[in-house]
Parts: sequence; C-alpha cells; structure tokens
Amino acid sequence: MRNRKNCRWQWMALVTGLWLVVLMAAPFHVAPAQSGHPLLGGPRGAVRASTGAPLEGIMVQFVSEKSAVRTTVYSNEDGRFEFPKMDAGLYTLRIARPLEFKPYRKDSLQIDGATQLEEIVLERITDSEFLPPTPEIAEQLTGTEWMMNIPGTGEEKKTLTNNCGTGGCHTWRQLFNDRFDEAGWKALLNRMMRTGPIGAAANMSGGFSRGGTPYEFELLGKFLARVRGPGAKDSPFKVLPRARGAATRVIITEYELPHLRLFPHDAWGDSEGYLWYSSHRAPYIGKLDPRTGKVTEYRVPGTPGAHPGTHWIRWDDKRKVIWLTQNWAHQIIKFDPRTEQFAITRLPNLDVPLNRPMGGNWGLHPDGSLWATKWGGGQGAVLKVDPETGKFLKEYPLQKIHDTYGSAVSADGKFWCGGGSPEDAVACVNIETDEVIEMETSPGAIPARGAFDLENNSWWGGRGGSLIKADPKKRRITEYLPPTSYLAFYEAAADNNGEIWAGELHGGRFVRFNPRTERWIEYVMPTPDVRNRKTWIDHSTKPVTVWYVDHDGRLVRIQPLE
Amino acid sequence: MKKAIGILSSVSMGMALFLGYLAGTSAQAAAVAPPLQGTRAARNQPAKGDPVRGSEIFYLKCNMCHSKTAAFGPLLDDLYKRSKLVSGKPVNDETVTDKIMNEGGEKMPAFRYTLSPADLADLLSYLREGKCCPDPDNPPPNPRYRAP
Repeated sequence: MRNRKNCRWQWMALVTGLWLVVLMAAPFHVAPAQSGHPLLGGPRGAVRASTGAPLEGIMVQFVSEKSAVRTTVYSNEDGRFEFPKMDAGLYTLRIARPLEFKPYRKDSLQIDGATQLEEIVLERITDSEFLPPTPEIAEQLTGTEWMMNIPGTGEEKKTLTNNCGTGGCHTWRQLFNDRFDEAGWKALLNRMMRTGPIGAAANMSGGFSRGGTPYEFELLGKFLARVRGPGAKDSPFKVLPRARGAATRVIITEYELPHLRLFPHDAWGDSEGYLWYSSHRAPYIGKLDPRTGKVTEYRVPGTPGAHPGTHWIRWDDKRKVIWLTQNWAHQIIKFDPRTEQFAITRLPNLDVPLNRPMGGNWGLHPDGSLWATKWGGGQGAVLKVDPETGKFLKEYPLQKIHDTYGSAVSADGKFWCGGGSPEDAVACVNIETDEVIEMETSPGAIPARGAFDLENNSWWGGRGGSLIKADPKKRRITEYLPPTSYLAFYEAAADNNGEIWAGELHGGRFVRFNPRTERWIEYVMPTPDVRNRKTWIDHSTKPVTVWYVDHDGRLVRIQPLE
Repeated sequence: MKKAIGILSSVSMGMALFLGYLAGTSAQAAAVAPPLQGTRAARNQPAKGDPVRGSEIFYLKCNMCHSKTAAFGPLLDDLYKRSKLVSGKPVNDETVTDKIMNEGGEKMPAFRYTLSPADLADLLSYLREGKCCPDPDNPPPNPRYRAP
C-alpha cells in the first residue's frame, strides 16, 4: 500500500515536472499559435537571450530579395513574434538595431506562408548596461541617445537642438561623426546659421536655423570644439529601453525609392491606394503601389535659376488631381494622374528671391481654395488663394505674427490655423465669422506643421519637442511633452479617433498620443532616425494605417495592431 | 520527504532537459552576419581611390558649399583641368590635399581630424577623374530599389 502511494506521488511529480518543461519551453520549442489577427498570419518564431530569457521589443525584420521591401515586427513579452502574410520567396532575416546584442542575420531564407522560423538566440556584447563606444554601436544610436551620451550642459544641448536640430535636415550622427577645432566648427556654423538653405544667392537671416544670436554662435562653437574637437573620444553608451507592451504591437514596412538624394518631404494617399511623395531637392514626384513596392516617378518641369524640388503634396479627391508646391521656384503645381500633365501657376514673389523658401505649406479647403500666410515683407496676412490662377481671393490681416510655417484647414472648412514657426505662436481664422485669432505658446515651443482633429482643435508639431494643441474656439494652447527628451517635432496629424501621430525627429520613435487619457505609445522604429515632415493617415483600415516619407529617402507604413 | 525529493528530481530532470535544449539551439543559431550595406562599419572599409565612394564623401562634406546653387565656395567641376588653385598654387594631389586637410579657409574648416586617409584618397579620385559635381536635376539611381 505504502509503495503504491509512493509510486503515485512519484508519478504525479514526474507529470508535474514534464508539464513545467512543456510550459517553460513553449515559447521557444513549440510553434506559437497564430494570433488570429487579420493583419498577421505569416512567418513566426521566438527570440531569446543566450542566457535563456525571452526578449521583448526585439525588431525582427525581413528584407525581400525581390523587392527590397523591409517588414519589421516586434517580439512580445514572451519573445514571440509573427509577421503579416508575405509573398513566397527569398528573404533576409535580421535584427534591426540590435544594440546590446551581437548582430543577427540569415540570408536567402525561403518563406512560404506561415513558416515556423528557427528560434533566434541573441548574445549580449557586454555584461554591462553601458555599451562600448564602437562605430558599430554608434551607428545605431538615435539622436536622443547621442545627446544623452555627449557631455555638456543643458543650455549647450538645447541650444544645439534649437539651432541645428529642429528641421531634421541632418542627423546628430552626421554631426558627431566629425571632428574640427573651434575655428573649423565656427566656419561650419557660419555656413549653416548665416546663409540660406540653397546658399549665398539666397542669403537670409538665420540661415537654416531659426536665427542664432551671436551668443548662441559662440556657445555652439566652443561646445562643439570641446565635445567634438580633435581627438574627442566617447564614453561607453547608455541607450534607451526597447519597445514594450503596446509599442510592440505594430508592423513597420519600409519601401525604397528609385533615386538617391531625393530628400522626400511630404506623402499623401489617393483614392486608389497609391502613396504620392514629393522630393525636396530633385525634379521628381513619385507614386508607390504598396501592394507591389513599385514606384512610378514623374519628372516635374524645371524653372530656370531655381533649384529643383517640391515641398507640399496633397491629393484633391474632388478634382482627382495632385497639388504640389515648389518653395524654391515659388509655384503651385497641379498634376493630373490620368493625363500625366503638370499645370504650373506662378505665385507673386513679393520680394522673395528664387531659391529662398516661400509658399511651401498650404491647406486645402473643402471649397477647393488653398490657404496659407503671405510671404515677403509688409504686414502679415492669411491668404485664400485660387490654386488655378494664383489669385488672392481674400486676405485676413495678422496683428502679432508675420507669417506661419504650417497651414491647415479643418475638415468642415470652418477654421484655418497655422503654426507660427519660428515664432512661438499659432494663428487661426474663424472662416465663418472672419475673425483672426493669434495665440502664444510657451517660449521655445515653436509650433510648425499640423492638422485639425474632428473637434476642430488644431495640433502642431513643436520644434521645441512638444505636441501643441491650439483650440481656436476656446482660444487656448495646451502643450504635451513626450516621454523621450532631446527631440523635435516637425508636424503632427490627428486621426478620426482623436489620437495624434507624429515622428520624433532625433528620437527614432513615432508617437501615438491619446489626449483624452494622455497616454503615449512610442513605436520604436527600425532605423535610428525618423525624419518625418508630413504624416498621412489612411482611415480605410481599422485600426488606422499611418504613412510618412522619410527625408532620408524611404516611404514608411505604420500598421498598429490595436 | 520522499515526496519532495520525487517532485524535485522530476522538476530537475525537466529543467535539465530544458537547459540542454537551450544550449543546443544557442549554438545552432549563434551565426553572426556582417552589418548591412551603408553602415559606418561598411563605409570604413579601406578603399583606394574609389571615385564612387568619393562622390558620397563629396556630397556629405563638400556639396553644401561647392555646388552651383550654393555658390558659397568655388565650383570644383573641372578642378584638375585648371592650372592653379584660388591661392595661386598649382593644382595637384599635394596642394589639393593640403587645402582640404590642413589649410581650410575663412569659410571652410580643415578636415584633417574628420577625413581618414582612405576618405581623402577616394575624394581625390572623384575630383581627379572629372566626375564632380552632383547634378540635382539628375540624382543617382538607388541601388537598393528593385522595380518589381
């Protein structure tokens, strides 16, 4: 009897032990069950550290050998990941930005349907929380991480961000890879802070930056010579945490474009599912078919003496045309995709020389008119313009602000607002009453580009690093700071659910902000930089799909799973 | 006591199996691949007079001033066809190197702390072979793009 009892206990213990084995091994050993999510259903697997622990927030990426399209998914808290359904073919599997882990890459993997992938085991490069400052690690750092790790005072770092980092024209990596003495850095600062974007021919105060003072110029010259002078070395790097929780439930798809050095600026989707983009420094606009990755380019007619390039782009669903602006050549362009013809309307220069930025950002009103602020000298005003002729249909004089950078019209056509960058203000017009409203933000907030939500609040990317809500009805500004520091926003977009989307310049993250709950989700991107200047939200999907074209030269699709 | 030992031994057996499994897969999956093209590590590979790489360096470090539209520094399209630099010195590898790396100028930093010897060799080959300078009307094709 006693022996039988002993046997029973031993049997139960063995079963319990085996169950534990199964439970512990499940994330790695057994093919994880398909999530059943309609956006998923493709290859799947798991990732863990060589010490055994499952790893969350690892960016697992497939690069198609056929199309070069890159698809990235994120491991969850159990280390599991699942890709969307993918075309059968050969792919490179890699980990994007492995940072504290050794690189992982497998070439020419045959993928066909819901392929179960071999477990990915990542080995740390160091036991320390601080990473060795090697070129391989430095290449993966976001701008924010660079700023965290560079010595300097708060004043020095913020002055650098304010003067050299609010446009996302270049990365901190590009800057911090260089070494000059103080005279060298000042020569470079002189070029960047005191002459125009295209050059001496378009000399303008402030140059690329918002207009550094002599004090700021001196401060930056000495700061850069100290931290990036001859022989400057980096200390071991501290990096930001990986994505976790909701930030892992997303798919990122990146599409290459046919030419280099396009410096794409804006993206917008048409009613047939194509994504259009403008190139800020080349004579092309392009159309991506996201179903295949094929891009069709159209060459924009040139203007003698003007640098090629377009800026703002917008699909006009009523007219079934694309609107574009050329802020070097000072023109509005209408492109008809059916005839592939460009119609060009020259704007009055109003004393602004060619190649000096002008008339770049517009808002499209439901009545077909375009809205922006007046450029050039004289009193500032908000303009309503006939895009077919360039004629000013109406002017609304401004009192405090001269002009705005951003320009947006509410979906119901009742309001226009513009972010005052480089000024700390937002201007609005109540189009029903003709009332002009000018609201101040906090110093250094610098609202730039943005859009309206469905409650007619305008939302702006603050170059100072905040998202800015400007409510023209209550005449109230509210500023929201994201969890990550040392960054700038170029713009913000609102979806129809009231959530706000924006790319963190230098942060390497794309934020999703819910103003009702004040919850931030920061989607960590597979590239260290997010150089987003215009977000387009596709409301035909549920959840919404978010698109932007990166200034570095790729179209990016963000598909949240919830 | 025996119960506890029984449970413990069975669990230990399971753990041993599990750890053995991990060790096996770890060895199997530990292959490490080189970084993808375009990383700094790849760019730092020694290159002797590669004008293609030189064109990238020119675009990143020089084009902002030495381009037709910038007009902030002299154009360098036909630099090696000229007899003299702006300073009056003859145009050759030695004087061009000295200008780029050591002299700089009132509006130009000296690049001796920034450009490696390989960078300089590539940049010189680009300038010497008359392939300068970037034409914004005709940007280069993207080798990573593959039309489906």
